[in-house]
Amino acid sequence: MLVLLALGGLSCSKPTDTRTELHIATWSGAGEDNDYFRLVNQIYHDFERNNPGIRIVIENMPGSEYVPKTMLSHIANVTPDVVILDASSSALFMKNGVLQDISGYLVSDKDLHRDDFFENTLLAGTNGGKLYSIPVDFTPMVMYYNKDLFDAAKVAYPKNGWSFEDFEETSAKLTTGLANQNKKAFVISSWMPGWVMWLWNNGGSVLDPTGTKATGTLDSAQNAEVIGYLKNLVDKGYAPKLSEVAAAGVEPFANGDVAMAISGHWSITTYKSSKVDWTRLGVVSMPTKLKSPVTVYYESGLGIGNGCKHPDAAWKFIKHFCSYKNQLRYNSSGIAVCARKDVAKNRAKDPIESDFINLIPGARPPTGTQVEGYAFVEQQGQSMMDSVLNGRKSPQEALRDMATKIDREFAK
Amino acid sequence: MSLRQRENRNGWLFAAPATIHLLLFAILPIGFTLYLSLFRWKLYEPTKKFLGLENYFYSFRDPAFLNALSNSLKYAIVAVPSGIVVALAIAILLNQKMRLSAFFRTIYYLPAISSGVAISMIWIYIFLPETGLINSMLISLSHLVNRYTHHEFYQGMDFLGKSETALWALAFMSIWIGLGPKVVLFLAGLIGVPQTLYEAAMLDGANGWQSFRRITLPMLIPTSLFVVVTSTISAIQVFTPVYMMTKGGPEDSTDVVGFHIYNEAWTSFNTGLASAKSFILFVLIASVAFIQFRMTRKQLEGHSTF
Repeated sequence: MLVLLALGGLSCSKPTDTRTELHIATWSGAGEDNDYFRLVNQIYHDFERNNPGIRIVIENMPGSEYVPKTMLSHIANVTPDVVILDASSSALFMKNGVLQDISGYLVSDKDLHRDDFFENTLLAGTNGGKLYSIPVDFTPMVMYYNKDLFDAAKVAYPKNGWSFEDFEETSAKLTTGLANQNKKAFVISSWMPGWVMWLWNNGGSVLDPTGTKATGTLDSAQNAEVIGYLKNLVDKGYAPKLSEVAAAGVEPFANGDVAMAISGHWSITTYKSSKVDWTRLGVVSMPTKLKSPVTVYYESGLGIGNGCKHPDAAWKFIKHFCSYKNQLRYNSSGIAVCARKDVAKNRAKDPIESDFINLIPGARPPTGTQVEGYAFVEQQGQSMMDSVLNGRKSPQEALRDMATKIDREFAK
Repeated sequence: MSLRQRENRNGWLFAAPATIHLLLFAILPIGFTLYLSLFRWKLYEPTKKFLGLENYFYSFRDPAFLNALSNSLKYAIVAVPSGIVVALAIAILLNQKMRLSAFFRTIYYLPAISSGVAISMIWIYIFLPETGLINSMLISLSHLVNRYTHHEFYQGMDFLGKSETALWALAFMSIWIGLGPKVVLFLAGLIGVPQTLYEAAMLDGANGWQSFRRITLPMLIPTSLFVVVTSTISAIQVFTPVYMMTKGGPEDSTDVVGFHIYNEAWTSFNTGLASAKSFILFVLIASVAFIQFRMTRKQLEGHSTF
């Protein structure tokens, strides 16, 4: 009797919350206490205040476990109502019924329009002619350069559309000009999202047009040539070796040890608190052999889960999050470029933001937006580049091995 | 009900919780894994295609899986004997009558009760190039030697970043992590050795090394066997340090079988194939344990510290 009374007391002590719950899956911890998460939480709270009948429930998942955990939720028929989508792995979600087609919402909505966004950013959430996510923010991968080091070496700043030959010549001049400071021209990493654009700018690609086979494409002479070109530049001493970068224990570009580095917009937040004077940084397109340079962009977007019981409420949330006002606040974090043209252009008063915007037309969505299991390809890409840069395999051999492994994986 | 029947019923009642636990959490999952291994099935696909033993044939032809098996075996071959030698040495030291022995026993057991993830994070810092504990110490030593020889014998190494060293670095770390339970087991074994044997040996003129070789080691065989079997099983199943510290890299040099199966199941979602590989791992571990028991059965006869 006492237990029943106690249980009854407990149930009476907390009033029942009758609001509609909107579960939002995110790969980063809203519980973390930093400026970015305070900003995001404020946007969530504003939504709840404007929509008293809806309560937001955040489902935090560690970044590396986001894809399997979201897939498991889907299999267990508890797909979150709103899913944050990472472009690199979005094909898996789009092709396996995890998300709803939201084209209709965007067509009929009076506040949010397709034209509000950079056209190519919508490609990351599109599959088979259906739209599965609204882009929030993105970043093209670019070449950062340090104007102070260029000035010190008396080398002209690079310009969009520069060639492989220009890059090599600039690197040689920088290395010579900075030799007395023990600095080098650029830094290279084996992380595939940071080098795949070199292949594209040499006219190559990773997979065949069907996206199912790598042999015959990845191991082409064209790709071997560009990997060999990068290895050769490292051997010439224009870039520190991988072991030297690891041994230094710091990011060489942020530390002012090299004059150029490939990265995304997110690095600006690091550079702002690092040794380099971030106001003296510039960004330029990837060197290219094509008529106009291409690069990859990485993006996050918002989609509605397939099992969502309140799709209208979920859409309302997406609209709220992607509104001009909230995106202006959200992008003040500086992590990425806003997918909304009006917000991105508002922020383009800053020269470096403007440089990023100039590079958007040449930016393509990552292959992971169309090919399931692309994470495996990127994993193998890192191993391949490691083996080449550490001198264990020739570019041709390493690419052939990587292509064979990818084909085996895709054939499973 | 007769006394015998009552005893039987009570026996079953006492055994029931453990039996149910074993059935639910060991036998059933193993059976289900075996069942799944016969299908081609992606976790998120609604249908499964029956393949028979094809997943097993595929696994034995899969270079990535064979590489993972080879890495696990290499890891076990290094980590198990070295872990046992170090643990035995420490147990012998702790078995001496000395001050603070209880304190040291506690200290050596600490890694065993710490989170594997936290330990892995700490060891990432210990292995850091230049600034990590190991590199700092070796570089300082090198500077010291350089003063007299004018030669730097060591300039720092990226232990986890080089395919030649990463697996051995993990094996080295495992010696420290696994020390606690092994030391406790060896201590129990050492305490169980009758003092009269040592006294008799002393009267016969045996020195310390002879007593150790002829008395301590043989008397520790049952304990050692238990430690070897459990350590080998843990070594073949190693996962957390690989997941936290190297993700199987560089160049798949630390892609051990546990991590490989995890990726097969949760990155590639090949549930059927991952089940087949898991079952192969299960059979491998069972076989290793069986062989170890068989090999040492004769030695066990007549020696027991339990």
